[in-house]
Amino acid sequence: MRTSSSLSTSPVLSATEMVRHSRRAFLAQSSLALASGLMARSAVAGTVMAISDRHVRVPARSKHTVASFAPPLVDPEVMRTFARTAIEAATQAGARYADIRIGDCRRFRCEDRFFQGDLNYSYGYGLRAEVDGVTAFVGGANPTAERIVLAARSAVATARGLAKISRTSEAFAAMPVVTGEWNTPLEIDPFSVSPDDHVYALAGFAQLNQIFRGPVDVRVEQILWKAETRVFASSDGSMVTQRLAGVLPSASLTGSSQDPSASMGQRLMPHPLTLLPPSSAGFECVLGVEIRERVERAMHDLVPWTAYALAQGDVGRKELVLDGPISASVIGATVLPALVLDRVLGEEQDVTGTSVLAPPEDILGKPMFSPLLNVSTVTGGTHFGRMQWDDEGVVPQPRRMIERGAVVDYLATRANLQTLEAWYATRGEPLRPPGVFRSEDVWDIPRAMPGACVVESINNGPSLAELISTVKDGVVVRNGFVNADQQGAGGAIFGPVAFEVRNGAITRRLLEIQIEFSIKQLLQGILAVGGPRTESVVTNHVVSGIPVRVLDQTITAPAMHLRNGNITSTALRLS
Amino acid sequence: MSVLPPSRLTDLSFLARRADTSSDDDRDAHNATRRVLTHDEALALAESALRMITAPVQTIVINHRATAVTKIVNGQHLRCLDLDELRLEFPLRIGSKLQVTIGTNVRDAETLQAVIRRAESRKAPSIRKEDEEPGDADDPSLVWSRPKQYLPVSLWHDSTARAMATARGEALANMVRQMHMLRERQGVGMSPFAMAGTIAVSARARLCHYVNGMSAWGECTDSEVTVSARTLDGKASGWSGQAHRDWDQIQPERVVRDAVEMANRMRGAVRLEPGRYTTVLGPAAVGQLVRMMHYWFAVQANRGLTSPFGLTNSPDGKQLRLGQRVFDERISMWSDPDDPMGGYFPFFGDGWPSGKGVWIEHGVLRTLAYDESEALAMGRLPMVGPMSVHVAGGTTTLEEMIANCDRGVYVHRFGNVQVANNESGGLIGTTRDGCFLITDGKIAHPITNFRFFESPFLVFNRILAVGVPERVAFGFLRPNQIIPSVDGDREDEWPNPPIVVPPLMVRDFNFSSLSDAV
Repeated sequence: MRTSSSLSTSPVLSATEMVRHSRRAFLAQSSLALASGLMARSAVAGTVMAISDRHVRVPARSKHTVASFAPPLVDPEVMRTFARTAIEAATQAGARYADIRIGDCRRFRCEDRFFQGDLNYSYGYGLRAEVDGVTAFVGGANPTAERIVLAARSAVATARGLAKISRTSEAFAAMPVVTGEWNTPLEIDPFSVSPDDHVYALAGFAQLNQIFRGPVDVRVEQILWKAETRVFASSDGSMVTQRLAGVLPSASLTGSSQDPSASMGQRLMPHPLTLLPPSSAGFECVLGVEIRERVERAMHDLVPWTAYALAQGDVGRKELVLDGPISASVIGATVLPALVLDRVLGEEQDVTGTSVLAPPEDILGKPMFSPLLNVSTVTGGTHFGRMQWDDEGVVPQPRRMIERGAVVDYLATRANLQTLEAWYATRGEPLRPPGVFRSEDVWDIPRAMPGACVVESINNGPSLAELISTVKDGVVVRNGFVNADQQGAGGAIFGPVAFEVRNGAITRRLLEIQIEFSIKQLLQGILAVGGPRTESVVTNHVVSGIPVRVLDQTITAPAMHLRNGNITSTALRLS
Repeated sequence: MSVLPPSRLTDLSFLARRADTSSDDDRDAHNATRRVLTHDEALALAESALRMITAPVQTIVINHRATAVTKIVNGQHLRCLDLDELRLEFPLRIGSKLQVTIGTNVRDAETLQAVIRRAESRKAPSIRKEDEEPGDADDPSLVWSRPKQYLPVSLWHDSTARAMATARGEALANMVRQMHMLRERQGVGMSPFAMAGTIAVSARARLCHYVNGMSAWGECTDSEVTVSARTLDGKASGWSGQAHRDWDQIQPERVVRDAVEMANRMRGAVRLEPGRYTTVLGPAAVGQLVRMMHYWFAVQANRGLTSPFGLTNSPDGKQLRLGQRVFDERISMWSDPDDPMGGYFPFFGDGWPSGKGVWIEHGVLRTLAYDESEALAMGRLPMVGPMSVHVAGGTTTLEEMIANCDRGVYVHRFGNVQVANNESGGLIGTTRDGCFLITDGKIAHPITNFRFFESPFLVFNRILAVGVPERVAFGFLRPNQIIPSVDGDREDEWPNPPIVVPPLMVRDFNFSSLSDAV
């Protein structure tokens, strides 16, 4: 049975009205006011929903919340009981150390196109047990008391079997026992809002294009909301419960070149909308006049960049100015994976790769990059991936990883931290991991990767225009994709939105080029780092493992002026 | 209409048993090794759910996957991962006329009922009479659900199902022992190796069950062993891998030996100026290129803009190069669910039969994949693109290719390949774990890695020789496109669809710059 397209009628609340609503007004008017500041109370035991409407407008607003379309959430006390049972079963079976993550998680994704979406619920567990220095991990869905005991025994039996074959052992660094509960601070729980409200919020962004009517479009392609209760317990005696929330928007601005000689494909000039970054926040982050006005300003700012004529780029070595989004992407694809201690120690050798920042004794504390480069992990605020305890019970701390161009720390875990003992002693610091061990789903093996990182800008540093004004003969790159090699040793910026700079002024937009680089050479050649106004936040998808898993993070970085980049041609003609 | 006795429709206890295969119980030998649902069990689950749903529901989809991965780290210590993932999905209309697909991973009838009741209680009001459109005979949604015929395929191997437990015994012990032995055997003054390996074994079942209509069932096993060897000074590395649906066909010890041999040959690599070279591409390297071509075999990918299989400057952007020579005539590419090396489920994700399809025949583009609406309008079966690709082979051996090369490069494998340009099919990546200079018909010496920028659509027009095809192992692969999704970016997860390719000798392969990575 199909429905007629004549069903498209005006929404009860227009998209513009929705966006103009202040967060407070929304709270006051919404039937969900009671839910503000709370994680969803109700929900689910294992549900996915895909919402679609072939008509751009929804005929009426549903009074039901997103959460109401699924069965109730599991009581955290039930999960804690399972966790205790599993740890007890593992230790009784002979585990020297065991820990478990149990969680139920809801993800709601709303697309702008045809207003499709999905609502997913998952409930599962991941248990690791260490016996005689060998670790086994078992992950599964729908824990029950019986199943979780079997899983614990199975992990211990597997580890014990493998220990007979293994020739070395690893031990988990002792950490303080942690207990307690923590919630991500939210104003409006996105799951306590009607699916139609999500649709309207997206429509509000789309409507900016009708208002703006310029050579720049905004597109909030989709917003993925996540809410999760995650219990962690270990044989050390730790037991914590967290209600974690996050939002992962896919948003961009697309400029359209005004050069009439360019093809349709060549004209497009995508730019990330860094005003709407992934964060640990609620529905409030897409509401209100302020975000709309800031997006409009960003659209205006991009207009002058669409005016340049397009031309084939020259190859060769030239000065580079990387705008915030692309300098963040370069660091995210190369330096950050290379800082993962598992990779440094060769544990990912057969999979993702090793690290250009190895071995630690040759790298730590020694000048590697320009002294203008400082990279830190960040926690707190609304940073993406914020949590009170990581997936092995460690409290995350903001850490400087690269200080004045030298690597001063690695992304370590309890399993490999001992490697850094001498270095920490030298610095007079307690041996302690940064608290970045995390997994997207509880049944996956967690990995060391912070939810948010910052490449530090320079206080009162130059603006993008000021950086460009110092370039004699070079290229400014505003956006692009980065492909890195298996060690983070180098890579290429491909599909760049790039402009030629001569004597401090932009002359034209360049086509069919890419920039290939060795990361050491590139970052040793930093001539200047931009000020806070040049900072952008991008999403970095960290891929690893067999089976492949993706862990998202954000990287904030300023613009940079670099000594040289190797510009190569991408002119391929199929006929 | 139920195909099972009523008693099976409420007793879903087998679901719990399937999840608990680690237990030592008294089940029969077959059940003990099988970690995913049988056809009968999947049908029972589907029909139980259908009985609980009062709203008109057309289809139930069940996916069940069990994965056992064991990692050997530094040739010595071991880590392992066991995953069990079950999903059930069905569509429902809820809320303000919103079409919803509900999915669940529950494993007991009571909770399943709760999931369905909860969703159903909020389903949309009935559609007004005036908004309905009469069903007609050509309505795709009706054609969709009619019973279909599927090719009989054999993708399940008990040996592999058993290996989910047994591979951690003798095979793993032998690999570790051999790694240790080869490490000890290095010559005086030579940097020893760090070795790492992965043994990954998987079993998977999928049911697309339509009410009174088609019911597509597939089950498969798959296995892959990969090993990399790397000198401790970080200057040389080698890799080897084998993949097969039948674990008994995998030779783990040979994989170890080949990886070490490749790493040994890579000692003392020197730099070679980047540029265009005659290149011998090993099967693993060819597989990395072919794997990325999947997207362009869909008609939609070739419309609107310049594209590999679209006609440049086509006025309406709709003219395709069907029937034209697009590759060297030695190149044929096909997909066949019953391919002994590259077989796959005989249906696409939504239940449409997936028959054998010849994409390229002697270099001529024969067909592309049309989506549901377009295919039905044309009176053909919809396709979503190749589920696996088999590239026809020749008879030239790798040795003969090298012997026939005056000056060129041998590439064993690529790493981190990504699509860089949709219009030309341009790919970007690096060589990895084996790269050599060929001079005067012989491997002269190892060379450091290159970064490349090249299109397979050009490479397949510069063929000099074609070898014997084989299924290639991939190990870790970076997904080409990552779109955050509600079920965790699972589209490209292991195991990868089988790719069967020959080694190739091609001219003018474009190595765009040097890579510092080893």
